[in-house]
Amino acid sequence: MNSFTHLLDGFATALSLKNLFLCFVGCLWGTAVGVLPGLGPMAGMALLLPLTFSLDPTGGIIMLAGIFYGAMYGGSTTSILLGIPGEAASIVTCIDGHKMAKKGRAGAALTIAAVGSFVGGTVSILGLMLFAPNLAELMLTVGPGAEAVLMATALLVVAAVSNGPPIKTFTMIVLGLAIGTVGLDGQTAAQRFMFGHLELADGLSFVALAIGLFGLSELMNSLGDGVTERPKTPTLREMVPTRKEAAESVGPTLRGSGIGFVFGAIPGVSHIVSTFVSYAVEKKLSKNPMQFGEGAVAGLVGPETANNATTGSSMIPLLVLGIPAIPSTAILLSALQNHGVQPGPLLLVEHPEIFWGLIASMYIGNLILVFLNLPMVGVFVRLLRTPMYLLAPLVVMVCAIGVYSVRAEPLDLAVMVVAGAIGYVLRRFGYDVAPLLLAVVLGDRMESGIRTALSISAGDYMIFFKGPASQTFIALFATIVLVRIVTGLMRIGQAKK
Amino acid sequence: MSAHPSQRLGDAVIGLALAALGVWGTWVAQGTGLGTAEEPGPGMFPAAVCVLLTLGGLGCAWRAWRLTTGNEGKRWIDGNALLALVQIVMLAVLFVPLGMPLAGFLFVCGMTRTLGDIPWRKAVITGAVSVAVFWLLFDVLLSVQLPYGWWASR
Repeated sequence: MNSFTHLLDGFATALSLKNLFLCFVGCLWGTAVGVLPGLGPMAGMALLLPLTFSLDPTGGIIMLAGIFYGAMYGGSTTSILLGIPGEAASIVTCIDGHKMAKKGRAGAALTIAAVGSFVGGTVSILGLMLFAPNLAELMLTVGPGAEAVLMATALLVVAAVSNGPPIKTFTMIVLGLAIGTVGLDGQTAAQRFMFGHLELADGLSFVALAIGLFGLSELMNSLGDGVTERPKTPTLREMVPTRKEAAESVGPTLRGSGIGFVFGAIPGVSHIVSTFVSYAVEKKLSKNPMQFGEGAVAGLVGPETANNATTGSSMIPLLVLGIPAIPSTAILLSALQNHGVQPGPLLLVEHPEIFWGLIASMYIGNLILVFLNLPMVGVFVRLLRTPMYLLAPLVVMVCAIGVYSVRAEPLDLAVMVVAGAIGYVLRRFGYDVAPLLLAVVLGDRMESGIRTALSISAGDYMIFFKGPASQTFIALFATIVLVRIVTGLMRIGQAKK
Repeated sequence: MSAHPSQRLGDAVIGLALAALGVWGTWVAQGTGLGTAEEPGPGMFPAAVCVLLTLGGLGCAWRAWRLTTGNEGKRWIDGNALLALVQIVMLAVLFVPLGMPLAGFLFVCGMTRTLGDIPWRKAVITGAVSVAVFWLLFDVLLSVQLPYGWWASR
């Protein structure tokens, strides 16, 4: 069976009435959380994660992926209309998008952003479809030693591109690894950090941690900054861009697609970085760089396309290596693991219906989003007017019900609240909590890789350096460390001058 | 002088707290058995990451100590966020004993009243309608298992 036949099967799966409905719900919910300031894709996915446990794995991942790319779309609405990023990756969209809105071109800006997002998303899915199967075949040769090195490299990449000082990110990663060890040991069934509480046998609930660290702490953060501006709904006529605006958006859309796809495959805060890179590239290439910051079409469409182009490629590390590139894909990993499906090179062999069903649903979802975002902009504008005092308790209730519904365990509610409070304080003092959550997810495989490799080699640590896969990952590891040291030294040198 | 901790002081306190957590974690983990290089025990990996956590925490505190900026006062938590947190804690504590409908009703009433400063009557209506919608959505439509309080099991 070739990729095309698999894709047709994927479409048959994704176009079933149930999966089509789940894709639509995911896109709608994703757009809503993307629109609302303070709630990003991570919080939106974490909130609906428990619901996926009652669905089949394909349906669950189709809905969660819909939330993921739906939020990327939705974030642009708030950025353009209010100048407030609905989620982190929309920060750059605010600069020129909101300026266009202030000049009376809000409708055109929304259309340009939506079309750019569609193109970026579609290019990215094409790339995912072409690269993932070949990479998966290559990954099947990787042993436990190389797997442990790969996990360590993935965490290092996250640390290297994360926000904030490296020492804080490093501390968050090891804290996440430590949290991940709570529960029964997978090999000896010894109790670790359980103190006799058998409800901790499976470890701290990932759903409770994710909802607490992202959902609750983001919500508490946004309680301080209420939305005061009341956005105006653009008319249908205002939604049509001029011929000049359309022509100006072609180049940046294509470049943004490429930039987003490449950056999306790199673990870390890829979707945020890609928007800044795209903005810088467009400004550099522009004949009128002075227009940037004053409502330049290229400054809006380039980053917005790049942002959406990361969605497909950020699935490559998850589906092929089993490594979530960003926290949002960690939620997808958790959803699949809860169904006993382990993403990785074997996913394409053991569960092709999930892989190809997801890809097909992403094509469909991208189309749904265009039709959802443009005609329904009025609905989302009304949603933006919802006061925070009304929205906050409802979101918290969804969080509590979601966490409790997973295994009816009151302890999980406590974990959620404690994680929320700690996440809030950590964020306030400049700690990025995303690497913490990624480390919780990756820690288990990293430990198992290290222990299995050491057992096989009778305690010979050189096993981590043997074989082409290990050596490639170590070379990558060393390069990242070297680049960090050199850039750090250069920064110190510049500061001294 | 500000009544709130500075960014530096906050950083230092968090760093030291994480280091202390690391020391405690290392002590607990070594008790579960470190094993040998040939046969790593269940405590080996947790002990190693807790040692790194101690070092990381100390590194954060040291960094805060060395910083020359970030001396302005900064609250640990904003007023509204604290108000919300207290009520979220109450919701988590009462969610199972009182059940979702009652605990949820009290929570939504309290939050809308305190954060939005709206009249009690409006807060009560908002609470009742929200709980009814949640019950319909999660219990009736999605068959999610919800707690109904200690009296429901009697």
